[in-house]
Amino acid sequence: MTKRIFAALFAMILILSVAILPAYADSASYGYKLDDSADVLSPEEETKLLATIKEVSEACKCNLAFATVKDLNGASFSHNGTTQDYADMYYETNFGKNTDGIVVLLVLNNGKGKRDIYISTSGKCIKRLSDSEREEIFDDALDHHNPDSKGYYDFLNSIAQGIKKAVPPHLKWYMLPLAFLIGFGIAMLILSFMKKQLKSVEMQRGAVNYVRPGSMNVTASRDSYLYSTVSRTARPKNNSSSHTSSGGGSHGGGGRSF
Amino acid sequence: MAVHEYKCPCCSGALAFDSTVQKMKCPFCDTEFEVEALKAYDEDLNNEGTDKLDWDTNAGTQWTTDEATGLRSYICQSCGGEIVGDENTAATECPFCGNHAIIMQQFSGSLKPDYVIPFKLDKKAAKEEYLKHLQGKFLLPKVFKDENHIDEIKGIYVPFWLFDSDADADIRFRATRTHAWSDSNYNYVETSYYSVYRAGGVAFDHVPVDGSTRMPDDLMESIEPFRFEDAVDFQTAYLSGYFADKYDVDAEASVDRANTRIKTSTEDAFRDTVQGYVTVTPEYSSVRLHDGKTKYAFYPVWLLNTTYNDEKYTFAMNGQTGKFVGNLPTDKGKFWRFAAIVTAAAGALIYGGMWLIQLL
Repeated sequence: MTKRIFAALFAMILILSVAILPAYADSASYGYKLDDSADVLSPEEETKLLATIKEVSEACKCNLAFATVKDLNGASFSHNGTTQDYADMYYETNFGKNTDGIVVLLVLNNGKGKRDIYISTSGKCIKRLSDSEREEIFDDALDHHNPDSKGYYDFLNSIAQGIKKAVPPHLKWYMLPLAFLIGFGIAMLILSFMKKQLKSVEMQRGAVNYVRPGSMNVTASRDSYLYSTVSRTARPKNNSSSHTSSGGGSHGGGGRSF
Repeated sequence: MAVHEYKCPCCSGALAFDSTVQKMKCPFCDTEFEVEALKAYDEDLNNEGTDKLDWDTNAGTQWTTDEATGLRSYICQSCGGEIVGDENTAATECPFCGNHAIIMQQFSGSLKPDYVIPFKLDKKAAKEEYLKHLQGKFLLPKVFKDENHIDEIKGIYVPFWLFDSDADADIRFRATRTHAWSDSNYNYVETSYYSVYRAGGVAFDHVPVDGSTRMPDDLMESIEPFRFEDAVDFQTAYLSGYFADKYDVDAEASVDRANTRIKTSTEDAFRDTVQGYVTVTPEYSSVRLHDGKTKYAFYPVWLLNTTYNDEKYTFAMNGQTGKFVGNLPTDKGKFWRFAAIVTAAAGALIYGGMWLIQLL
């Protein structure tokens, strides 16, 4: 019995490694790009940021582009005039529809006298970067690395670092003990069933075996309605929303004006 | 004191009740006798017993000290040896010659049982059921199964009180129904409350309550049900070859247990008529019993004893239906080994699954 369990355990680990390893071993190269049309970075900063983008792209196993533009006019592709669609279409033009990747777009003039920072996600990255993680990245970038006081390099670099932290496949630290706690629960469930087999002595609950056949008669039976209560609970919000671009690809993401 | 032994009319050997043929059988000359046919002969033997009674009573005065401590001594009809039993012993065997002895005094007057269910299964069947009982139980220590020695195996007629009663009930339940729907922002649950009333009656026949303190109540209830269809009018001949005790818990003291069981089952039966609700909680219940009748019966039980790690384990088998019960020990080492292996395997699998979800 014990041998069989060990054999089963071994087989499971084997299946797991076969299932997981290819995902890591997948060495296909991912596109990375820095497009500073707005010219907010010095050539040295561009080189440094591009190296960071390459590194983050490899860590995330997805395409990654950073783009800065003065405004939304004069794009080489068609879009519907919003920052969101500009970012989505920029991604599709560079990396194709529904591939795995992220675009970070900085617009210096969004047409309403403000700057926009926008992150558009595509493919698996839609799920991997949740809305709350994205908002955290923006909060951190705008609060601690504001371009007005620290410059655009620091601002964009903090976003790249934020993506590197959030997007690569990762599990929270407590998932490991949680997994084994659930495993322990399963073990106890099986064992309580097996322990029950060993116990066969207990008092009878009632005398159901000794009811005279056909002796049961119900002389009165009333079901009366009393009252009702309604309770409501908020529906859990979808944690990474998605939309379709004017080019027809699915994207996630969001942005901030500042 | 009177001890009764059924003698074979052919060879004078001691007769015993044979559960396979459901007749009295002489183990020496293999002659079989119908229990009914023996009745007349039985009465003659009773008369013989009366003659001896006087003689024995005179001699019995010597044992009054034993009687004061609850012990009783009887003289074996076959070999003259002394059989010592306690105040409840009703059927036993002679420790010297092994012949079956029935102590008639334990059945005189109001002590005479109304019914007996004769043994349907023999010692061999009990042993087989015991081995079956040990099968397919993963946590049972292997040593326990491998040794499987039985210290003692005994066919015992256990005194039971049987209660017949009609139960009238008025029961009110609080019941709920739920209806769920949702819009884009909220999930809604509407709970409707109902008051459900049921009244009526149900009758119970022969609810047994163990009348012997020597038999654990839970063990005796575990081998239920006994089917009363097989019960016959009591005759001492059925006890031949088995052990028996007379009751030492009277009907009055046993009725509480029967009441509890009847009340529970009555409530359950009416609870089952309340259908179509999500929750049903009893709010008020009144169960009234009437036309109650009590009978005294002997039911057949095989009792097995075994010892493991200096602890005594008792098993019981229903001598009529073959239902076998008895708690078994747990192999603690095996328990924790299994827990560790399953925790490791399931934990690894779940953790792997979490990664897979991340990657896909």
